[in-house]
Amino acid sequence: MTETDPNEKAPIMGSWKGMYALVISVLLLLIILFYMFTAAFA
Amino acid sequence: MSSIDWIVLVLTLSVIIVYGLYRSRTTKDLDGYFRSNQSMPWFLVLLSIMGTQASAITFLSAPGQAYTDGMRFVQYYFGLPLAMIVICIAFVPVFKKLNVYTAYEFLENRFDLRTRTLTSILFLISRGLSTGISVFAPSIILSSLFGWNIYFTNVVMGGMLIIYTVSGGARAVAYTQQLQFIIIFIGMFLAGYLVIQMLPDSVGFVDALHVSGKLGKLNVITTGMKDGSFDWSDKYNIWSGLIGGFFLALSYFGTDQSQVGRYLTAKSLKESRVGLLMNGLVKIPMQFLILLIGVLVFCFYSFFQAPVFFNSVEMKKLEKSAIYSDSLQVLKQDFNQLNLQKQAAVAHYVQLNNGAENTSEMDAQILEMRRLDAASNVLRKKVKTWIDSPSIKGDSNDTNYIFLRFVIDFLPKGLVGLLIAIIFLAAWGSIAAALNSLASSSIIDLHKRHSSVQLTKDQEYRLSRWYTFGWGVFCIAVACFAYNLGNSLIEVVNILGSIFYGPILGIFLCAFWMKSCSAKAVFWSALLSQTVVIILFKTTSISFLWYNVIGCLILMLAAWILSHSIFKKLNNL
Repeated sequence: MTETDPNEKAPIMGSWKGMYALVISVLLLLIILFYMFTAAFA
Repeated sequence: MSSIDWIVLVLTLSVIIVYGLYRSRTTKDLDGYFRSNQSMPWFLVLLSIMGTQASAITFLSAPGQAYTDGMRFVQYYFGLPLAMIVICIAFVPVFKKLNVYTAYEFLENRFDLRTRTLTSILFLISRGLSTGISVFAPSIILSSLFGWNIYFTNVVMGGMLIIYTVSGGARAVAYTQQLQFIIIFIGMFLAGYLVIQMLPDSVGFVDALHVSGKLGKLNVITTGMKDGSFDWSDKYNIWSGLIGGFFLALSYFGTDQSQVGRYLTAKSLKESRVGLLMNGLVKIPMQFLILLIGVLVFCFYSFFQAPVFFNSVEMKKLEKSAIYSDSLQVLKQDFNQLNLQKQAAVAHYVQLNNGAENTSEMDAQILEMRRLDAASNVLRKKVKTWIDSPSIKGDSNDTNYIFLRFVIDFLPKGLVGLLIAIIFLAAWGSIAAALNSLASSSIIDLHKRHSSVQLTKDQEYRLSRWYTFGWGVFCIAVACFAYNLGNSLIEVVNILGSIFYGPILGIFLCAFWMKSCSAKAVFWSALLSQTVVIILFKTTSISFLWYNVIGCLILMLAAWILSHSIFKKLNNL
């Protein structure tokens, strides 16, 4: 039977909120890096 | 293709089939066949999600897209990580808690059987047809390039994977997708590495980026602004990517059984969530790298002779045409002349860029490169107009042919076979998952729910295998039929997907978050929002990504209004 406990701990960042924040932070970082990449070579 | 390429191709495909059969062992019931006994770790869920989304056309079309339009296509994926978070918070816990096999089971739980049945039928029709096109799209490209019989190519493209998909269900699909992805990445990495190696000695990777950037190919971030206002018809910009892409990804990953079925195989809620969130982390960089290969191919052709049009079959039609053959010869000479001038201009720019700074000369050289590039594009456009003309009636879009043309013309023996194998593997990954999901929805949402005959576990298992086989045959038949309808169907299917995804997502969001909405209100709102989206599609030039947002929001708003007005009064009577 599968584990369905919504309070199951996230593997990194300590909590699921931390994981979500990590994903959003990486997205923002990528957008900034892509912007710099575009500006550097265009 | 050389005999070495054939050996590599046949060997790679055989390994996948044998591996799929080897991994087919599972319990002979619906849980084993469709959910792999919910035993998958997060990394297999991740690879399965990615393998399902990335079809053959992803690896063929994306480099060509970067070649012609630059890298701005990557913005299409900006909403995906945000959608992964919403799905982890709202969708997955409910699906896991209810222990469902399909996403549509939840709709009966929340609304009624009618809503569940309608949504699953819509899914079966749209996914069945689009999977047929997923078989046809790479087949037509390979058959054009190699002169293979299209019907035979369709059967190999859509038929061989049926062997392990019928045999092993979701488990075989997930394990083969893992191996497929490893092979795909090795092949794409080698292709990217060799493009850089094949550039002239004086040109390095950074030089290639400078050249591509100056010619407008590194436009990774664009705002969609035109003449001081937002251009709603602009397909790919940061806003359409973040907002439209978010709704599209939410709908695709949250409500399309071909994806829901992948993360339902996870051994726990945690593993499902981690798989989805990792997809949110790696998808954008992966697409960026695939597009970068296209940019490098563009740079390569800035130093070597490029064809004026990459689909040789359409070019042959023009060459044989009494109307265009002479004009084509003249145009080809002009194009080659322009190319030689462009090569000289690009080489001089690289020299200036690496030497002592001379801003005014460098600026002049950049302008010259752009002028020559624009002039080449004018000639390419002219050829496309000829191909579109009533006397030729050809396919004027050669984006899907650019990367494979380069592979065949310039990559070493063996690697060509590997890259053709990659096209098959990418197609197999997404088609296998689609067949598995079509079978699961057919038996769980329709057959079992509407049939009065009680089946044993073994009968259910055997029937599921037959459904998988039947859908496989259906998709190949669609692919064979699509041959008569032309290449533009691929784009039509993408647009049609967006037309229907918005209302379907709206139904699910009402189910999750709008507790006061009744089944009747949602049903009529779905019809209303669907009609509005179709009218918008017919009468405006709004980019298709926005249909997802509009369809979803109209449904939610209408459902709320109806639930608190007409249907509230009816309920009170």
